[in-house]
Amino acid sequence: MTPLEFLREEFENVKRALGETLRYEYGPERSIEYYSECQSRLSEIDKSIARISASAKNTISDHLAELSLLATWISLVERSRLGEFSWPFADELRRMATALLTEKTLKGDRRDPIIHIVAEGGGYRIVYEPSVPAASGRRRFVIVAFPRSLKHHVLLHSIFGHELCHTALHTAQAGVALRAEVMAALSAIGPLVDNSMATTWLSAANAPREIKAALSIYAGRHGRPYAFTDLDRQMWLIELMCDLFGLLLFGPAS
Amino acid sequence: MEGSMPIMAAHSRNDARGAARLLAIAARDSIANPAVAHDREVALNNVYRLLEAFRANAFFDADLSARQSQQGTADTLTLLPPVQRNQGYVRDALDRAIGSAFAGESRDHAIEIVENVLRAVTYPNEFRMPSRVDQRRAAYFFDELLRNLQFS
Repeated sequence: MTPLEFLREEFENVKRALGETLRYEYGPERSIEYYSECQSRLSEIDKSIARISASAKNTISDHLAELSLLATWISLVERSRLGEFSWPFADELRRMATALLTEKTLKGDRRDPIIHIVAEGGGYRIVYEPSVPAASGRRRFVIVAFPRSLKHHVLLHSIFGHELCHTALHTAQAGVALRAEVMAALSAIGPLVDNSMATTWLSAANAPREIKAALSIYAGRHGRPYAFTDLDRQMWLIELMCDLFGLLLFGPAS
Repeated sequence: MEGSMPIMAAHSRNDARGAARLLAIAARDSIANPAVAHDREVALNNVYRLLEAFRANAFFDADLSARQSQQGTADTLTLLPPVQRNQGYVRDALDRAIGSAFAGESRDHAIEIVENVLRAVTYPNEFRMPSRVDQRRAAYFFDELLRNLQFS
């Protein structure tokens, strides 16, 4: 089997997987647009494959990766079932995420994301499409993953306010405003102005007991006291900004 | 189905360089031959998304994302899409391509020129084509981007 034949075989496999998702019943109506986007991406990939030369191995490999990612999105169609989370809360979250993550096309038309809610075994997560987009996508997927076991603990769901900010940071509209205005303001004054001030603040005599314990463990492991790096300080600023964002959206529960 | 191969591992890879190469090829070919651009409208809109993300510095924490992408066992068991790797590589490739094709000009201005060419190529009845000089610079930009994205 040549690489191009392998690619065609994989295309048929993914197409079959999408067809098989129709066997089940999912969340109310919303899965239709998700399914249609997957179908549209397959159609775009099909057109691209028809243009590939059999000797273009790198391009074949890149298309295989694109198909692989699409297979992941398709598998998530089946993870959105009625009764596994609070739909009123999910609908409200969808409304907020759409307002934050809507994009413009080359023509200037509005392109809303597709917010897909799934139940996962792990923690609260929002997964946005990567900054380097797949060539075949018309609308972006946003996957909101609820921990299934916490279905009835609606107050905990407000953690999504924090997670939504992480997602918005990677957008061309809201992300720019958040970084230019909020992040800049948080680092303009106070302990996070620079690494030295942040380190002094963290090691203060009146720091919480948990912080002192963590710093002591760090010093024991590394043979030197902890000091902020640029990357660490950036991570702190991002988490602090996301906490404030969640606080504004959902109140103290976030 | 009998005789068919199993679907590939869902988490096998998600490399920003490959995605960027497919976009750059679509843009380069469409500028070279605008007659094919309409058929690549979706891909060209994704080139626009990439350029806007770059302009907005959406790759600002690419190094951090790469660090977080080293998933543990629990993460690899989930069906959620894997973190995209090598975004920083693509950001650097875009930076270098702008430096080559638009030496001495601001990043925003360079991206605006490239986007204007893409817009006119994709929707020739709605947008006027920029000058030949700008078309050549946009074409050169994507040639350089592809060259910067080559990997074995």
